[in-house]
Amino acid sequence: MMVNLLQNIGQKTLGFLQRLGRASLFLFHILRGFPIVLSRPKLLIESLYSVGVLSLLIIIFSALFVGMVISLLGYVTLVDFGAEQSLGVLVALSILRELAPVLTALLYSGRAGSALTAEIGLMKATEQLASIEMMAIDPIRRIITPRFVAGTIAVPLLTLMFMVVGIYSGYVIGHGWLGVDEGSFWSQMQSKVQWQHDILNGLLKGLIFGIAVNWVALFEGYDAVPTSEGVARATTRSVVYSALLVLALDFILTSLMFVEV
Amino acid sequence: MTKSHISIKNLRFARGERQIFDGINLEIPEGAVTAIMGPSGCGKTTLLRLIGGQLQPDSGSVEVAGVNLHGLSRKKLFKLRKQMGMLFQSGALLTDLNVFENVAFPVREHYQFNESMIRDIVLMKLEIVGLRGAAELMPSELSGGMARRVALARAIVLDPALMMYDEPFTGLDPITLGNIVTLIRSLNKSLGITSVLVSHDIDDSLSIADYLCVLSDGKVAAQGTVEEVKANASPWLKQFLSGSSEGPVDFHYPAANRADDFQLEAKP
Repeated sequence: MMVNLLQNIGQKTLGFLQRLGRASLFLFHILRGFPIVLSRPKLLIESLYSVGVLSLLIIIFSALFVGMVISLLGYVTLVDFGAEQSLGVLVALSILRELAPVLTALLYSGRAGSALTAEIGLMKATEQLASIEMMAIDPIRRIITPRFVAGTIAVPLLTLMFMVVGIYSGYVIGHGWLGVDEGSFWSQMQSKVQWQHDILNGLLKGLIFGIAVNWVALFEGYDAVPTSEGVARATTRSVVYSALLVLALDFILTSLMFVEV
Repeated sequence: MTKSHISIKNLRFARGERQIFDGINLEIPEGAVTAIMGPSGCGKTTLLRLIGGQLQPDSGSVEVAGVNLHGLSRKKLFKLRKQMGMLFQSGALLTDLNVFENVAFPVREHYQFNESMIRDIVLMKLEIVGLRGAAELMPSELSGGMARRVALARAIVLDPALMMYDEPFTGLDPITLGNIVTLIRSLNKSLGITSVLVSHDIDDSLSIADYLCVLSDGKVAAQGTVEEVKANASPWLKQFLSGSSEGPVDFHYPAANRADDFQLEAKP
């Protein structure tokens, strides 16, 4: 019983380490193919469209509602202390530092990451990747690298979009509905929000999450068991692992960026 | 036997616990059609993948055009693969590209030809398989047989010296099947392409094959010209070639004693 348990744990750990090793080699291989993005920008632009532009709508809608909710909840708390003039700071900081990068990455993994996993997994299951390889073309360089680079560019840009829309919708609710003074909303925000500390760090989070989510999504697709069940499992895993990874990374990054102990 | 294009020596290959090839030796002659046959799951497709360098043998060697594939650098392997065409069982067309772009794909990737030249090359290959008129269709709009013909056009677009066909006859209607059989034969005749055909469709394979190789239980059960193999067939091979249910291969998977399994005990 005990031996079985230990054996099981050992096997699981070895399996995990093996996968991690494969994933690292995979990332190395992707990055080695980077020049193709420069020599054939069309491949990058096509991928940017499918992962970036097509994710725009869901990001804008989510940002709209998140900004409104933060504004409402923040007002309810602040008004008890007579500090509703600081609503702008609260909305801006919570969105810039935390909500924009994290929610963008989570939404992206659900919208584009899962699609990437399913696409690559199906290409594997239908022997498309094998056939590309038999045509003497490196499938990672030709198929995966442009998608990875496009996704890594798209996530910070979508994060930026989330920031803008979220803050503005917070302002619309705060000023338009709750009656917070427009001048103090923006001026307090201006005095408390720092370009490098808040905005750039938020975008940096977006970039790091972008690398993580795309790496997970593409690897899960490439490593999928080439059957319909295998692709289904891989797609689920892609979203679950991306979400966990993003949240864990967020904890680490937040503690490094915003907390001085 | 003429000069061999592919020569496989003492090849061993295992997947997990299962030994798929246990020391096989095989010569595939140049410029002829060789059919590799065997029961399902005997590793026919695996053999094609070993010849294409997608898998590496555990031991032994696979030589294609005099080059040992084992331990070849990626660059050299890719160079060699430009001389190979492979027709996958599923066709494996790229689903986001139309027929024309699918056939043009290897050309665009490897050469910097101008658009009119690519158009000529692609339409010529599509003409060979009779689908010049379908150039603008998407793979989802093609029937299974058409998809396989497009895949064939794509496989020969770089004029390979070696063509590999993975189960080319499976799941086709009689007319399409006839077309594919004729195409394989005529490509071999007119372009002198060495063709390797993996199939368990006996009649169709034997109708176009010059040489035959039968695999069974990780070994080569027979190889030679079709006549030679037929003349020296073992009882197992006779059963395999005739598709009879009578012979050394039992219909039943090994099982417990019938009476025990159905609990038919003799009543006292």
